[in-house]
This record gives sequence, C-alpha cells and structure tokens, in this order.
Amino acid sequence: MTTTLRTDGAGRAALRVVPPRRHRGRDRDRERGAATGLTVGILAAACAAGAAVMIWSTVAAEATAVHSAADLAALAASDTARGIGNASAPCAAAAEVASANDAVVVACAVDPAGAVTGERAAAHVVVQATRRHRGAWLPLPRSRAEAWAGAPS
Amino acid sequence: MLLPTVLALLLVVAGLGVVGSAQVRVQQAAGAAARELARGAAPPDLATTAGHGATASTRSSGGVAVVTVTRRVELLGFGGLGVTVKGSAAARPEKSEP
Repeated sequence: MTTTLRTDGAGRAALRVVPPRRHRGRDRDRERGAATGLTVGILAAACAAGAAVMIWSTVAAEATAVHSAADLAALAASDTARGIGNASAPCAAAAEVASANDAVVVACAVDPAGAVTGERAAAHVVVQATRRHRGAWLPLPRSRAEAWAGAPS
Repeated sequence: MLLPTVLALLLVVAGLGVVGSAQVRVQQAAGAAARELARGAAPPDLATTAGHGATASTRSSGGVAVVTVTRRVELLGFGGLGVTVKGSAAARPEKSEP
C-alpha cells in the first residue's frame, strides 16, 4: 500500500492512498486450488473416521462372539465332566460348541474330580475365532478368549 | 457444496457407529441367552440386553442349541431407513435330548 502527499499548483495538499496493484493477481494465483485441497482433506478425514468406526465395530463384535464361545465351550466341558449330556469327552464337547460358534479350541484342560484345582469339574478352555467370522477380511490376528467353568456350588 | 457433503459424511459415520454398537449389543445378548439356555435357566429380558424391538429364535441340531437375536436399527429416526443386525451363539443345553 502506498501513501502519497500531492500538492497542486495553488499549494493545496491532498493525501492519496493507493493499494498495491501489482501483487493482487499474484495473491489470487497463490490461493487458487486451496478450496479443492481443503475439500479433499475433509473428505479423506471423514472416510478415515468411517473406516475406523467400521473396523472397531467388526473387531468388537468378533471379540464378543469369541468370549461367548469360550464361555459356552467351558460350560459344555464342565457339564460333560459332571456326566451331563451325551458327549464322549469334555474337550470334545467344548470343541463341538466352539465350532458351532465359529471358533476353534486352542487349549482345553479339565479337572473332573477337583484333584488339581480343588473345584469339581473345573474346565479351562481357550478358543480362537476362525476365518468364518465376519471380521475375517481384516488383516488382523484372530481374536482369542479363555474361560473357566465349574460345577455349581 | 462442501458443508452439506461434510454433514452427510458425518451422518454416515454416526450411523456406522450406531449400527456397530447395536451389533455388539445383540451379540452380547445372544451369548447371554445361550448361557442361560445351557444352564437351564430362564432367558434374560431381550429389551434390556439387546434393546427395544429385539427378537430371539432358537433352533437345535445335534444337541447344540443356537440362539439368534435380531434387531432392526432405525437410522436418524426415519422409519424407512434402517439396518437389521443379527448375533448368534450356540450352547449345549444341560437338559439336551440324546
């Protein structure tokens, strides 16, 4: 911006303010495309937030399902150790229930008489989600869960 | 044009969150119902565990009972826009038929 003081022939002075003309076009060129960048950035952030929410819900649902699978498999193993049901062995019953819940038994230990744990028909089962789960498309390790069950006291 | 698009995307993200939490909730409800079924106890109240409008169905095959909980999630309060979420859990009932 330029400020000039001009004096005419009669000695009268006039103050004139002149905006810088030569930079105006260059500033406009520098800002050209800024709105596009902002739009792309906001859209990308929103898409990332949507993807994060989707991944969270898928993983949380799978973890919940695997926890249920472990709990129900341990319950089935404990029940079988108590002589309930028609399964051949406690861990076979646990594997059957886990398979019906789209999970596989990773570890299974049963203490029918309570010799080790002191609790009758104590079962400890670790299960892992199989590829049949809806979260299988995610490049993440499969969910694992463990559960204990025993005879009702 | 930018602000309506951002608003629509935020609504989509919020909708995904609502559907995701409902999915987790029905899965928990199915697990709880299957557990009570395995123990021979009365099933828990579905409206409490899975939310209003949830329905449960049970089918048995080979000594294993599968409980499926279904619920329709209405998005943004509109009647026509909704997603049905489903969760299921399988258990071996104590009093299963041989």
